[in-house]
Amino acid sequence: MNSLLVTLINYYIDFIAILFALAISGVVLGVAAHYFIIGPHGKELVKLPPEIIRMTLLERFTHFFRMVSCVLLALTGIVFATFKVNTLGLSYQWLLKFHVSLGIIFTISSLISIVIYFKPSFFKKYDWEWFKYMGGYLTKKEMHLPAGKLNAGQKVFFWLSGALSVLLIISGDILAFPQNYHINVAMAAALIHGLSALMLFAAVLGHAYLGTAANPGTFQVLLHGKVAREWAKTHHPEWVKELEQSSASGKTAVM
Amino acid sequence: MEKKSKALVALMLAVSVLSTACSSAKPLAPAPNSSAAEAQALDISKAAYVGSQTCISCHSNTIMDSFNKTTHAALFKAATAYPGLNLNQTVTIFDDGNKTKPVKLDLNLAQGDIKGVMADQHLVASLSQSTGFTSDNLGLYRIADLEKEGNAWKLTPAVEKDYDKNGTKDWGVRNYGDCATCHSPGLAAQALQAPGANKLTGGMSCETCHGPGGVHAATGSPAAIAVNEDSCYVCHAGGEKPADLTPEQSCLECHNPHGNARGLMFKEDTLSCESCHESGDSDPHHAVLKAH
Repeated sequence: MNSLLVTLINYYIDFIAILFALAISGVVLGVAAHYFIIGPHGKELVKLPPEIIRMTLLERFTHFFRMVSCVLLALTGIVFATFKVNTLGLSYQWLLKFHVSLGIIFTISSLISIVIYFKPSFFKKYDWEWFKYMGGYLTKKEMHLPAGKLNAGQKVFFWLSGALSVLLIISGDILAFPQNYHINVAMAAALIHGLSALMLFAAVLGHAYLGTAANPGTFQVLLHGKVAREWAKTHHPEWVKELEQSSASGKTAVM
Repeated sequence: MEKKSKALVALMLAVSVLSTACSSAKPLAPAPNSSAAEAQALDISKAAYVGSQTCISCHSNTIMDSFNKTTHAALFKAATAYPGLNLNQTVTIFDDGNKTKPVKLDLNLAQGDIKGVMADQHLVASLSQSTGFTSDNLGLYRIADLEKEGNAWKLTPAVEKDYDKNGTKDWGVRNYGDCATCHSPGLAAQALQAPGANKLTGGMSCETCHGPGGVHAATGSPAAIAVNEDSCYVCHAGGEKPADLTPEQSCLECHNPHGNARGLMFKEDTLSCESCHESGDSDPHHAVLKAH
């Protein structure tokens, strides 16, 4: 076990920098290719006035802190993983404190996010239709695929980012206090932390693209929490139906 | 913008400022409990070497500044550190270690695998067995000696003998492999490592004494790095702890191998000779070094 972990750590040290470079450049190139070859959908939706509450204050609040902490954690983490702390003229102790402090913010905001989006992320039958056409992202044609408050892709992102976040939080705690753990645990934590961060950051870059340039009119929801009715009907028709039914039955007044 | 949104932005900014302030004010972790960590079974002998630059990425580079002034750092340096040293020459060399028959080689120093200079005295190079030079088990040879003339350094034969019995003295080279273990321990380990593996650098470096740092660098675990006097005895005191020292006494009690600002490894800032020895007393635990 020990020698296997040491061997894996040796590979990790040799290849983590190039893996990060490949992952980030791969996603950026993929996103750019999608934008220029297929392009965004529903461009006309951006001009419509926001009407329906899509994100509550708590949702926006936690998303903001999760987003900011995630990006800063990735950047500082890459500096650690590539051993460039001193090269950049930074203090290791200060950067470690900063990284762990960000980790605390990420932990709290991630756990709240996981609780908030847990139930809406259960897959439903109509999600398979979305998967069948990959959300319409592989064609220039405007497609109106069934989707609840979260579409199938967002549900996948929830489970992926949630699982990776939990792995990052646990392994991060171990790496913050490695002296309290057996070296095998610390080595496993280092591997899990780096590879989880790699996958999460690549996924977050794709998530950021889909929430901004790929779907005009979406990003603004992070500021005021509302979306246009047409935007909602286009991207999340099943959710609009649920809202209309709830509204008709007097259960909610979000519209 | 709605009142709610303004309040949200203000709250986010406030929490950001607060969290940053908190992050720089509080100590993060307790002091490493290295005694507990060291007690754990660990084999890092197969860990990757990461190089001193990686070490100082996290540890203060003032350690390297002071270490570079110590005699340990001067044990082995790059040939480029010697002004005027002419490596653009071809020398005809003989293997002094081969006593059965003279083995000759025209060596272009500019194209040779020059490793560096030991203690400002010997130019060391690696020669493959295909050259016919086989007397050194690590393939390391003292190709030439260095002499300083004015401000410039020049090369002279490591040894001069008439190997080919033609009446003129030839340029002999001597084995270095046995010397390398102590005089450039990184080089000895480098030659012994498998091809393709991460290499320990030629002269003394962080990992010469602390062991391969790959696992420590990746985990930050104090259990994954050697911090004790064992590495001192690889070269000093005849390979074992001097009998004059009590089990509680350690080299590191009086010496800091990283050196101080003056490059001295004796802890002169906190100790004096009389801290350990009575005035006029001999220095038994250094006897081995003095004899050597």
